Amino acid sequence: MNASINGREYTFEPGETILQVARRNDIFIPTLCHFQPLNHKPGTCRVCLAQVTDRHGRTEMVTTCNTPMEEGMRVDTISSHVRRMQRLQVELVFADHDQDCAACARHGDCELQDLAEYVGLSTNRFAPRLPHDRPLDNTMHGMVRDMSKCIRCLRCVEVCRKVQGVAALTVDGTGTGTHIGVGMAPSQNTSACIQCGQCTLVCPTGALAELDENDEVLDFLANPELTTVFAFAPSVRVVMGEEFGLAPGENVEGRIVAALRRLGADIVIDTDFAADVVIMEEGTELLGRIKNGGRLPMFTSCCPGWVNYAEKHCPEVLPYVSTTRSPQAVSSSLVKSYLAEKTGISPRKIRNISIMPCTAKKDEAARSQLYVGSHPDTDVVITVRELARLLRRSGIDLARLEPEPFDNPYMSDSTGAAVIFGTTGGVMEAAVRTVYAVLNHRELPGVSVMPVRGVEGLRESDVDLGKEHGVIKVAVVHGLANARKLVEQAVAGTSPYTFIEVMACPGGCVAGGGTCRIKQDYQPHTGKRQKGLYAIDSHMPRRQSHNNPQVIKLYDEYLGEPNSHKAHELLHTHYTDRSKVQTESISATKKKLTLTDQSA
Amino acid sequence: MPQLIYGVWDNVVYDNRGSAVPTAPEDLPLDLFDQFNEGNPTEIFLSNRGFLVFSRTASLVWALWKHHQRLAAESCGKCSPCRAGSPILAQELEKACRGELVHWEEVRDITEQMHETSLCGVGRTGTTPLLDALSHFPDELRPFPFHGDAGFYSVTTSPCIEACPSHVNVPRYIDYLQDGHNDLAAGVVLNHYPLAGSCGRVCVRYCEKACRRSQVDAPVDIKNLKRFAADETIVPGILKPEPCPTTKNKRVAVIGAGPVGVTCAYQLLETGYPVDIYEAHDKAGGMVRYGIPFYRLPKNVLMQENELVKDMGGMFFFNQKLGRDFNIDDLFRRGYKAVFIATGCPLGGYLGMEGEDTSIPEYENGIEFLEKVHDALEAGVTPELDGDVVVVGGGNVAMDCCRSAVRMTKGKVHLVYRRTESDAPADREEIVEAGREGVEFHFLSGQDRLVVENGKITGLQCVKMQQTEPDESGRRGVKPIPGSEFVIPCDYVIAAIGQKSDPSMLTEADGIALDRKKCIIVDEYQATSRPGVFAGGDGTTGPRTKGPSVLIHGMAQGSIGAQAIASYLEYDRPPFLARERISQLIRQAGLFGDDPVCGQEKKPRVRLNELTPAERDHNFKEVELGMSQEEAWQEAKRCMRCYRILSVVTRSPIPGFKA
Repeated sequence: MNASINGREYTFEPGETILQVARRNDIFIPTLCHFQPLNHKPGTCRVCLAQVTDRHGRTEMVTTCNTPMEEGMRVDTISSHVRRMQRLQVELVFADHDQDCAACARHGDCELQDLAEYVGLSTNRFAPRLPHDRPLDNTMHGMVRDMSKCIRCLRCVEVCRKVQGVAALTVDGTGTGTHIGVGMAPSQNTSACIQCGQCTLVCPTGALAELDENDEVLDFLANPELTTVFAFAPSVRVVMGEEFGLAPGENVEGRIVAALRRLGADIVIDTDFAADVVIMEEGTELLGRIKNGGRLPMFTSCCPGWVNYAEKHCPEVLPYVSTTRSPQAVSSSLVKSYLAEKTGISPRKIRNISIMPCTAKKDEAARSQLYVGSHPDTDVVITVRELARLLRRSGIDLARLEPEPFDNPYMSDSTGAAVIFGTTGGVMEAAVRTVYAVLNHRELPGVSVMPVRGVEGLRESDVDLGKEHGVIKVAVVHGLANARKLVEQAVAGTSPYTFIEVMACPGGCVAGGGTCRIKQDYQPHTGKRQKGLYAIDSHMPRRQSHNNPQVIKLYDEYLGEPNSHKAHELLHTHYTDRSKVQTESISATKKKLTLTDQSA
Repeated sequence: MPQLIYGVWDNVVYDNRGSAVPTAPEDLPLDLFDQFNEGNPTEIFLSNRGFLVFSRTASLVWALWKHHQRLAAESCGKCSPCRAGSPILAQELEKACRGELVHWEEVRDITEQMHETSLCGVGRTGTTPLLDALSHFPDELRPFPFHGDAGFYSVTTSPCIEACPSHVNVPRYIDYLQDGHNDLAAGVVLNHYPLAGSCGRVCVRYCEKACRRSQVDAPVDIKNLKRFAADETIVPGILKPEPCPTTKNKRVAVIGAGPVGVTCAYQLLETGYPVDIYEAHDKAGGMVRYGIPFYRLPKNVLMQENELVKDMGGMFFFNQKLGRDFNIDDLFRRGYKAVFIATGCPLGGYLGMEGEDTSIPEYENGIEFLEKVHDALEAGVTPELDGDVVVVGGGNVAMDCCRSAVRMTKGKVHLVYRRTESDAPADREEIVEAGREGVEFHFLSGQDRLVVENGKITGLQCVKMQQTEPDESGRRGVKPIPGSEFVIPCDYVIAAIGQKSDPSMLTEADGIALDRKKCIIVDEYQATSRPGVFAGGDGTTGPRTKGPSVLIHGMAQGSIGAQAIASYLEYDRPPFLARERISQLIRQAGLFGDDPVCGQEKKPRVRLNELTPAERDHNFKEVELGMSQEEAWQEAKRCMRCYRILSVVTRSPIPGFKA
């Protein structure tokens, strides 16, 4: 079929939108709400305008993202009239948008600013005339929802529903008061939100963002009384480089260590070490459950988004979730006990600063279960995005640094098993490597467990644990929308699996809600980051957690054996039912309705 | 007859300000505009099609300001042009009224932007009058000193809202669903009647017939969206009723706890009146309870929705039958100041044919049959029939009977109807499902004689019918084909050919005028001939009566009745039903044209799960399984929000409305 855009003929397939045809032919039309990766086109921003004349000669202004191209249609995207309307539209978008760009989390990295440039915005006449007083929700530990910056693209609502199946976000209000809300809950912290942060990856502005805690980090660094211990998650090393123009998936572990030293870190250790400890604990827990008839399938517990989901959305599954703490929590707990003892530094003087690809890790650090008295094990968590900002604030260009090794007294040795924790399937693979070895007194042949690698939402595999132990079925699931079914099976007692790894974010931590924001795209580099982790694994001298010499030393000299009493005290946790059914009276509900009709 | 002074309608300019030969839009009955509020002439009318000014002294700019205030309040705030544009226009028009400096070019740019690029009907069509005025009558946009004695009424409506007798704001609740507020979606429906989940299952869906989405692919599944909202909130108790504060001291009696009476009671309770409900049966629900089979409406849903009224403070008196246990005078003697009669048509009819013997237990009328089936199921027994069944009739009761019978017998079930399938008044879906469940249809077949041997039915003799030539109204009658008699062997015959009111309920002494079918005669306000007595639903006849057994019509009458009773008790006069008057105007003046839908992407209607015919065998489990949350979001996205804002300026204030 044929149609013309700006005077040139193009062919198209039935059902293609004007925008699709234009993009296929490298014709640029500015867009804002449209989000191709999720096929999301709510048609709310109304920026992608074009004037079309159909074959009957009828002329109309349309939004190209959701208008099908028709045979014989003539499309104009560049005339002065069209450009003027596109520009006015963007001016109207800005009319009730917070004008304080300098104070925004997206400063210099904002899709709305780009859009203003695309349409040649030169005035901003209406902003002073309209209210900007929409809610600011800073009740969460991980994120901030600042609705004065919301442009109502609804991408966040879509990702929360479709990818995560969490559906915490709602659209509230009318007119200029319209914003993203949290349903019947009084605040986002008490809502169904699990703080996975996937919404922050798709938000085109700074309306949804991580809670920036860099000043707390700087305060710790500036205090000579304190010993700062920095640790960063497996995935951080293959994500961080992108913030400084390096290739996605490039391992910048050594450069991050160097950068943290430049900042003034006292001790830099590797969260990988704690990941190896997690495998020792979780693997032992699994074998114990199998042997003693405990609750199976056992679900992993590393991912705080998933733990929040289980507690808030399906508390029935909590007895099935491993009690082993996450690597971050294990690391922080051991720093203030084991490392403190070994180095003679008072735990009161230690500040654990954790660098994570994740907003929910900030929330995890605030869990009362992970406090000793009134002191948190993890003092502050910053995301990859915050670290990048912190380095820029300190004038450090990661790309120009020479790699440096970790401080390696007790908690920095790593294995290939630990580093793959950063990808979906990685925890499972690491666990299988160790569980096999524990049961069979020899290493798993071939090391890798290929069937659990990949990108499908649900992957499963039969794992032969050796002849007298037989075959167990394991599953790996990521993106919480995919997890729900496995949860229901487990609770109903029909699960075919023995062990299930869940990571809330699609792709795992490498695609966490605290990783780099990439404009107009969703998870484009997840595959490269995963490859980066597997490449590190394959080159590691040791690839099984139980072979980590510092882990062996930890058990020999401090914990005894996995799941020992001391290990339980320091490295395990418990969960609480935080599900809430909000109810409301019918009369109060009616009062909330925005129905403008006056009743007779 | 109002005189059009100037205006723009469907892009045609009418300017009679100086012309000797006045012009006006053809086919637009201008006199209807004055009937909106009799005695209070309409001076300006604004709508999606343009504006009309009927007065030389009325201020167009004031009307536009009020209209745009309304538009700004209506803006859902999702699309940029309407969200930001609508309050700016309202601000600028207010300035214009006050004589302050207005940047008219800016106003024009924004108006055009909203008109041409808004997401939905609010911004697109709400701006038509202003755009027309700016283009053709800029000199009329003069400052206007507000003197406060004009009337203003504005309504936001759409084809689906207008099609619904209760005027439920369909796009609003669909939007709430899409926005993640199942509670508020249910609240929109609960604004009108308590039976949200029940109506969401059995409604005849006038709204879907009016849905403009049919021009693109298929109408939005409005009924199931409503059901979803109710099932997610009312059924699991997320929305809870609470006692309504009693603010009035005049007590009202409602007779009949069917959907009409319950809706009337619900509205009165909300207004603050104490309400008692008298019901002949031992439970609430009326015909919806025992007339609609379980497989269409599980009775826990209905009972829970009826309970809302109890929880709000309504008192039910069961086993109290009008005409047997009390009469109308008794009620007034007991201190009630108003009465609403909603006793329906509880009696079924027989066929009145040769050999008919209504004492044969296997010969039943549809209503009795359904009630018996209902009672058995409620007692936990799945009733059974032994043999073949013939159901006679073509309405929904007939379908309910034969679809129930299919579930009860291992034998055959036949449906006999004297007209064609397309003449049958039953819902299409009901006929289709009956067919899928194995009912054998005999259309154009008239019942002729009951074949009885030894006091037992052995068959129904029928005669083939043929269609006659269309009469003046275009309807084709039927007549028997002589000699075409045939017998359908059977063991049961169920006559499902209509219902009637119970003549024992009202006597002449009650002083209420009835028509010759013993139906209560009511007026536009559901008032009967006796002061203080109102009536609605089946068993009444009046301007709102639109055929029997249409739940949504009945509930609308219950609601109007409540408004009329409140007005009677408060002011001793009928209410001014502005909303109804606007609907009348829209309907009679044909204000909603068939404007075509262009440029929409196709989004197929979500296909919902239901029990297969095999799964329905010998049980009364609900056939339609409703929507999942994901399906509801997907389906809700199909709504195009065809909102239209209509505003009326009258010479004097409109009763009950502030300008």
